[in-house]
Amino acid sequence: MEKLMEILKNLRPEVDFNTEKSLIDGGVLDSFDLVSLIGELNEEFEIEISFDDMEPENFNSAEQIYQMIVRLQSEE
Amino acid sequence: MTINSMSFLLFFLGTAVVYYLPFLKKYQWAVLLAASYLFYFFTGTDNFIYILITTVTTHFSALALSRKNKQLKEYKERCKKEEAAEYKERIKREKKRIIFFDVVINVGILIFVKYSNFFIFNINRILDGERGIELKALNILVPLGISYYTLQSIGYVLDVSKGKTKAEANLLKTALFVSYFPQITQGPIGRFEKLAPRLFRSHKPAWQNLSFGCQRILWGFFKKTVIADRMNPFVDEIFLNFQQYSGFTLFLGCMYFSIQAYVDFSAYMDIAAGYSQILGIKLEENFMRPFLSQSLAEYWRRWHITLSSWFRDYLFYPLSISKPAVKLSRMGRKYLPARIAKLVPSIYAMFVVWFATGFWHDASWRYILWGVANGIIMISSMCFSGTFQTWKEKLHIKDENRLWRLFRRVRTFLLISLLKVFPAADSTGNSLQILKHIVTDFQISFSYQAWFPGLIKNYLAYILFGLILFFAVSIRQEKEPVRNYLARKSFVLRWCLYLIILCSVLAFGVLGTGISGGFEYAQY
Amino acid sequence: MRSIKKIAGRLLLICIVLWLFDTIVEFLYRPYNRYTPYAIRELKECQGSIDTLFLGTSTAYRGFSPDVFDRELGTFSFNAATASQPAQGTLALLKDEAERNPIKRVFLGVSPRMLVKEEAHIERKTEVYDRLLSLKGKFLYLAEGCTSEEWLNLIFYAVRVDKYFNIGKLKKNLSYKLSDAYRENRAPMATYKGKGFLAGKEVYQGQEYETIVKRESAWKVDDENQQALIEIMEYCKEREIELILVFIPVSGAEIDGYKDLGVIHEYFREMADRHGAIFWDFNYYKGLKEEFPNSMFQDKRHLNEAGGHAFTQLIAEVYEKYKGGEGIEGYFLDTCPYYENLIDE
Repeated sequence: MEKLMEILKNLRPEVDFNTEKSLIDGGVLDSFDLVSLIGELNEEFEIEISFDDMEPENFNSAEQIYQMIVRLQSEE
Repeated sequence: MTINSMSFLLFFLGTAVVYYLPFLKKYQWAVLLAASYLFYFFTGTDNFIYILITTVTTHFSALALSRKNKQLKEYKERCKKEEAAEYKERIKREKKRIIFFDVVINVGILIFVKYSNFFIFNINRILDGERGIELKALNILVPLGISYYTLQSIGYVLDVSKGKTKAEANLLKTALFVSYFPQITQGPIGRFEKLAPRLFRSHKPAWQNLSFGCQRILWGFFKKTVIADRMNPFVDEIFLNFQQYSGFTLFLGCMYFSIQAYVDFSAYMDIAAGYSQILGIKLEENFMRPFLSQSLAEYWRRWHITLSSWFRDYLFYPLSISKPAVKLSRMGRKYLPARIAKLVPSIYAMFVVWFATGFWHDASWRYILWGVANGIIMISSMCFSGTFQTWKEKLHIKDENRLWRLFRRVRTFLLISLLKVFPAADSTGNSLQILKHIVTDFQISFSYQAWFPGLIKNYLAYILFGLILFFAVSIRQEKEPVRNYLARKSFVLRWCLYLIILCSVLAFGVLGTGISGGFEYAQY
Repeated sequence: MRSIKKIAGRLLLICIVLWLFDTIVEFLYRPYNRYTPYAIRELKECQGSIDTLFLGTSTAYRGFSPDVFDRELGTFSFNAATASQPAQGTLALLKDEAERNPIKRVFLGVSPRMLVKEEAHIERKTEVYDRLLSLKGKFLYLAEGCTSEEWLNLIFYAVRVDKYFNIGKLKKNLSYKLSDAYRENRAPMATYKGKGFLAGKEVYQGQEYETIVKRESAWKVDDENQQALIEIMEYCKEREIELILVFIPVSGAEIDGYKDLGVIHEYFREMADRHGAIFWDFNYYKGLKEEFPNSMFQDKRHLNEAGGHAFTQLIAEVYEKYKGGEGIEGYFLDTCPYYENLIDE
């Protein structure tokens, strides 16, 4: 989780990822953020987020992103 | 035999009759395969070998990949997590090898047949006759539809690898997927998961398919013969003899070319989709009224959709999250503001994609330039979007403002048209020359000759009639499918419209063998 | 079954509307000042009584005058030759006419151009197609004599019209077509003499020849055209129609252009012999040089009014002798008169 928060912080320093619950639906992250983020996550956590996983419910909050990472890691 | 010819119509009628024979119900796909190969044969392509290689490599790569996927799944169920991870790595490597093999062969063929002359020419230029080395041009006859079916086949293999779709076990069915005749010449590039079930299932003759199919074919013929083919000689003339025209005329020429190219291509799609629908097989849509786009990026989401989405899914996405992209992005973050830094992976991927898109169209520098120019404009609009936003706020422009939307549409159209200077000219040098003319010699004039050089006034009337009807339909279509709109109208009104279109195709269209020069002959 | 009815109904509707539309377009746009529409209407009126048919290309519709021929021999003839008539078209016209007419003899104007492969020009075919009066004839011609890409041009007049908004022309056309003269089928131009015969007023001003030097001929027959010619001959043989292949006189300049007329002459003679037809080559006519000088031609290839009349009279005379069992060898030499001096030397 910590690693994730750091990546997110790097990506968009001005956003408070602890409280924001609608990153996608609220338009906080745009598609370029996502592209950048996914690449970063894949690299850091050795997972494969494919573009089929690019659903709002996977990316709306830091918590959701974390859950997705855990799920993908266990699928490994 | 092109798809808009009378001989194709006859060929199709024959196929459709056999296709719907009751006792062949289970073998409809085989009828399609036979028809597809016959069509390929009739089109005068004697180089069958390429499509056969693609079919076979695609088929067996897909099968091998799906076997690997299955092995992995079974192994996972049986073993512990740690062991599975190791096994997975192995499978991954093997899969990569298969994909590599498939892509190298298929892209290799494409490059060999389509691009060898381009490379040879450029190598010769670099060598510049040094030491008397000069490579001979190969002049291979480019097999029909190779640019399209190659992408379609590779897409299928990649989908199987990702587990998005199952591999087809029957080689002949794969052959049909690769060669389905209504779409082989110019696409649309189909996706296996959507197209294959439609191809392999049996279809009952249905009234709606017939009527919608015929409507669409008619509409396609209208666009093709009344607008595109009428415009063709005159637009050609402008670009062939561009030295004679002012920058203003050349700029108009770019707009004409851009309209003509769109109408021509989309007409082709209408005809192909219409024919296919009669057989009960829906093809993917390739156009969504691109000229109503408000930005270049939107234009590319609405123009040649199956191509741009192919590049998006199979090139842009993987590239933008690939390791080099991540590395670039990390580097970017050190030196660039965060707003721009996050764009770095996308920019990197976009650049490659646009280079490839340009190159895919044609083996020439002007297409590469055209692709890259598209990419650069989109990348810069990404980078400056923040700035634009601030301006807009200062000027109190709202996105929903009608005038603003119209402005954006016109601006996008002009931009697209200007970019068309690359495809429109017949060589890279000429396209740059034309650009120069447009910039340095732009004199607005209102003479007929400046607006429509060499175009017979009668033909202009036909073209305008066609375009007005065409744009009226496009704007209506933006709100709801015109077919639904028509379906609400009375039978009489609907049929009046069909018959008017049919008659105007006969009267105003360029059909069969032209009658140019006609009466001179009867004098003797 | 229901949908078959539905489809049939709609097809019928489409056909009716297209037919109506095309008829209107043809009425509005087919030029009143060309002879074709008048010839077609005459051909329709003459159905059932034609016993002599002239076929061939422009040399034939300027060479055979039905009026002169009928006056001399008391026949009922019609000239159905058309511009650059393709051999396939000749065959189609012959079959179509033979269906409804008691045709006894056919004069087919042959020329080297008839058999070489010429650039496909749609007018060659529309002129034939429009003269085919039965649906069956039209259908067979579409199927056998044309490519599918030509169909629309042949079937629909609307496809052939190039400029729809030429208002001046349209007005002129309409005013003549609504006049009594058109209703009575009177052509406005003096050159049209009825029953498909065109009489040119001009006189050819080209070089006169005394002798012509033979050269190597590069004449090449197209297989398809040859096949059609054979079919024409076989068809006539079968139906006991007398078929006379006629090489209509041409000017010295034209003969010079052939390089060696002998090659062409021999070809047609052999073909005629093999398939039971008669071949008369009027470029071997003994009086060619004296009776058909340039003043008989409107250009190097086509007879003018005087030439057409003189030639029809000549052929009527020859034909009468031939039918009467008298020898006609006296009319022809063993070679073209233009070559004669050359051989003597």
